[in-house]
Amino acid sequence: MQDLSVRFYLASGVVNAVENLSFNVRKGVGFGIVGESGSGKTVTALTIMGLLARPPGRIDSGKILYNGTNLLTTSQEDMRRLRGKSIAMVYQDPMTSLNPVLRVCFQIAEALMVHEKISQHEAEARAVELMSAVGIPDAEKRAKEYPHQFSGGMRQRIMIAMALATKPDLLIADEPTTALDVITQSQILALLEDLQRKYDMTVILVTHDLGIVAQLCDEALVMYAGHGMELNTVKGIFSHSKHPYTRGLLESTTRVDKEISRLTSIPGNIPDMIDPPTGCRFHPRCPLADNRCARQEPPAFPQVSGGYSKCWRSEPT
Amino acid sequence: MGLPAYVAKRALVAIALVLVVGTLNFAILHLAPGGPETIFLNPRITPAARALILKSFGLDRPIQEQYLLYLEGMVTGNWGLSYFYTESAFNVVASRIPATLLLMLPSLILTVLVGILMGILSVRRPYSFVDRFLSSFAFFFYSMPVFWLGFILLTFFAVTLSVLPAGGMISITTTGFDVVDYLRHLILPMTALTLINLASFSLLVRSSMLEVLDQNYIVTARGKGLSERLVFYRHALRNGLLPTVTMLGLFVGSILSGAILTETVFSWPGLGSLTFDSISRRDYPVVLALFFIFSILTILSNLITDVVYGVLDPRITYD
Amino acid sequence: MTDTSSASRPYPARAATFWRSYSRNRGAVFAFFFLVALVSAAVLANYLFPGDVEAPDMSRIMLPPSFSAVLGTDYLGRDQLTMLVFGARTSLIVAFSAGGLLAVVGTIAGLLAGYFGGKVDGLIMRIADVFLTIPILPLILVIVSLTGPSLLNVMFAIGLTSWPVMARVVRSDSLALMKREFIEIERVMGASSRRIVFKHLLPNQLNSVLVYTSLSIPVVILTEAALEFLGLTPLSVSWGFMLNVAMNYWIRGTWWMSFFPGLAIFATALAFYFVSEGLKEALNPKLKRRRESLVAQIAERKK
Repeated sequence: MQDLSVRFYLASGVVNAVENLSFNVRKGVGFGIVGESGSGKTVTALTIMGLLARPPGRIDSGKILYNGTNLLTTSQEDMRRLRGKSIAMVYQDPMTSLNPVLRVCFQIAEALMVHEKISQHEAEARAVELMSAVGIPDAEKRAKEYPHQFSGGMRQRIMIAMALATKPDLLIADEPTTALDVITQSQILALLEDLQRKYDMTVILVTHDLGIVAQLCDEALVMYAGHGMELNTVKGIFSHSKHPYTRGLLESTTRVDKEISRLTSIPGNIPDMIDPPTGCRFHPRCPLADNRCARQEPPAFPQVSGGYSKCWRSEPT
Repeated sequence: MGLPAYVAKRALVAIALVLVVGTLNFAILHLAPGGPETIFLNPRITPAARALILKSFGLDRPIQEQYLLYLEGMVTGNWGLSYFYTESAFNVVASRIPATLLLMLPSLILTVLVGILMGILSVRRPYSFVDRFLSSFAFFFYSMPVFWLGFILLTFFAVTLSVLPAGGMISITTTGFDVVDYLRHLILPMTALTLINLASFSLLVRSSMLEVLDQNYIVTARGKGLSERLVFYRHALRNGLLPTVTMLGLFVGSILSGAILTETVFSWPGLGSLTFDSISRRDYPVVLALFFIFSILTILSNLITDVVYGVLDPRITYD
Repeated sequence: MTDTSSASRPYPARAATFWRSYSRNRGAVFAFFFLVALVSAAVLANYLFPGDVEAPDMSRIMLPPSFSAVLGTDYLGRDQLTMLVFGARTSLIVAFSAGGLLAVVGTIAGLLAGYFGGKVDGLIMRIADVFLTIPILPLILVIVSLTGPSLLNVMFAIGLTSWPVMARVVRSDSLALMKREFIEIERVMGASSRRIVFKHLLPNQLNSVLVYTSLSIPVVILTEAALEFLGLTPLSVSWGFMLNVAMNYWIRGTWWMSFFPGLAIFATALAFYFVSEGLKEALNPKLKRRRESLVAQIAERKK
């Protein structure tokens, strides 16, 4: 992704959802996009898929290169062929993301029928296999059931099965565990880890939970207010992040290995996206901010690891 | 809940509603100045009939007994004696039902078919020219009094152009049931009735579809790479039309009310014009009976649509 | 975040913003002025058209529209334009009073249902459901014909049978508001009396109430016209009744006797409808979501 800018043109104003975002994801890597709600991470994911609601939203600049092709300039028809086949997405809310009036096996089989032109019968058989692969017990029997007959965790598994049906090269997972309880969360994460290895997929994981990123990802991008603040390997982020926002996030998560006497959080609130702060978007809440931060937006300073850090403090001296 | 349990529950609700209607009737009866005596006992009826009514409605008994007797009368078809026609109100009303059905059913079918079509056309490209045109069309007819539209149609087609018959259901000269003649008479009243109901129905369809198109599973469907056509017809439509089924049930009530006015304008010999005539003639037993029959028809159609909905929505059929 | 809640700004500023967003909808503006003109004409009718409206003039019966009688004359020779203006009074009076009645009853019912929830909510909603499943026009017909054709009866009949829709809306808004934190805070602080909660629930909904009341008025107008048409009101100078009369004479080709009164009913209903749409957009753009939830509520009835 290079220099992506997405804005929403609403009656009440223009929302700068994503601004000048750039990052690279190599094949087979687990890539995390981390940020609070409203940071623009979901919009980024949707833009990759081409699922952005175009009337209010507009892609104002940038390129998304996938295997050499710019996704932003590909036709609707070609995008449609890619979607569900080579690039697939798992969505945030399993309760509302499945069609309530269609059988589960049909919904999983649908992508197969459209992209690989096989019969419904055959596709549904493959769907049953997929359902057991994602850990749904009694798959053969349950395949004929409807989404409302499954629990949240099961539905999420169904969505994963649905995304994996066509053995995509790239899987985008948008907060796949947010709507679930902790136990189910860990099960789903383990499942994702397992599947990624087995199918050798590239996974982009969008989340607000650093713990998940630690578990599943090799590299990560930290977003704030539509900007890519820090891009680094996961190890790099956790051990020596240069960016104050990332450090703030790290400090506010609870950790098993350190004793914590007080829960800290980053003071302040996420900015109003119609009228964001000038200069560095994080400066009102940043403990290290100075005048320059308020006036000028820092560029993305490249780091040793190959990533970058968008902060004046990370300026190489 | 499973289908049988659901149907049973709905049927019970329907029965309860019928009882409520009966009670309502009873209450209104007693609210009327003069009470049930003046309503049921027309000075012109024979003493024998008078005695019969007194007895069967228990007008000389305490109110609880009257209530029970009234309900019993409802169920057994004893709805009082018409002033105007010297028959039981039940007979009078029952004889007019077929005519009303002959007007209502075609109108209902047309409303549904065209309404769904209009709704779909509007929604395929929301806020496009087609959509705004159809929506304006709907708003326009939604505020129109149905009897006015009827008059305009009547005056224009029947008087000015003399193309279509000016009222009634069948011509006096025909014997038996001539379909063509019936259809010729049907066109104008049905158009009036349908246009107005079409307006609100298509708006409901549109609104329901828009809500569905906003849902997350539509994004999921698109994300699978399905064509817009597939997404729309297979995913959106099936979900969007479900609430429409329910709304239909409520709609019948509206069509019935419209029928009252339309039948009057076109002298269509059904329940509607009977209502008008009975009100003019102060034939109260018939008026009450008519309300009762209208309610039953509405409750019945609600029940039918509820059941159909239950069959169509897997969330009810399974679990 | 900037505070854009309307409650915190002075009146003139609010009125100005309101007018600005309202006037985005040209139809609504036009309708508003139309209604203002109509109301003025109705109020000033006696000055504009001196003399007795109902006095027959047999020398001028059933004249088509011309210079002397712009909208024609009726079967008793009375000028239709005059009759229309006087008829506007009835329609407007019933519209506002029945509309007000249903707004009040509906709002109270909705607030009670929303605030107490549970059994009270269930009960009120059951009652509302009954009114929604029974055909209202026949019910009103029965009520009015049996209790006597007076304007008051008409007002009550319409007002007392049309409240459920309003109640539904107010209830869902109330339920949503009840879940918000500031209500919790009030309760914890011991805001014992419901009055205090009414001070929070109601003001937040005044916008919706206003919009839905204006939305209900077209139906009220049409219903009342239907009642007049069927002869259930004692007034002879009313739009609906003029149509009733017209029914006897249309064979003679007196199209103006039915066209103009009907047009008046139509135009007024349409005007209120446009005004309500304008109000909706001006007062609360979020209202669009709530209308759609009617569909969801219907679906909920199934369970």
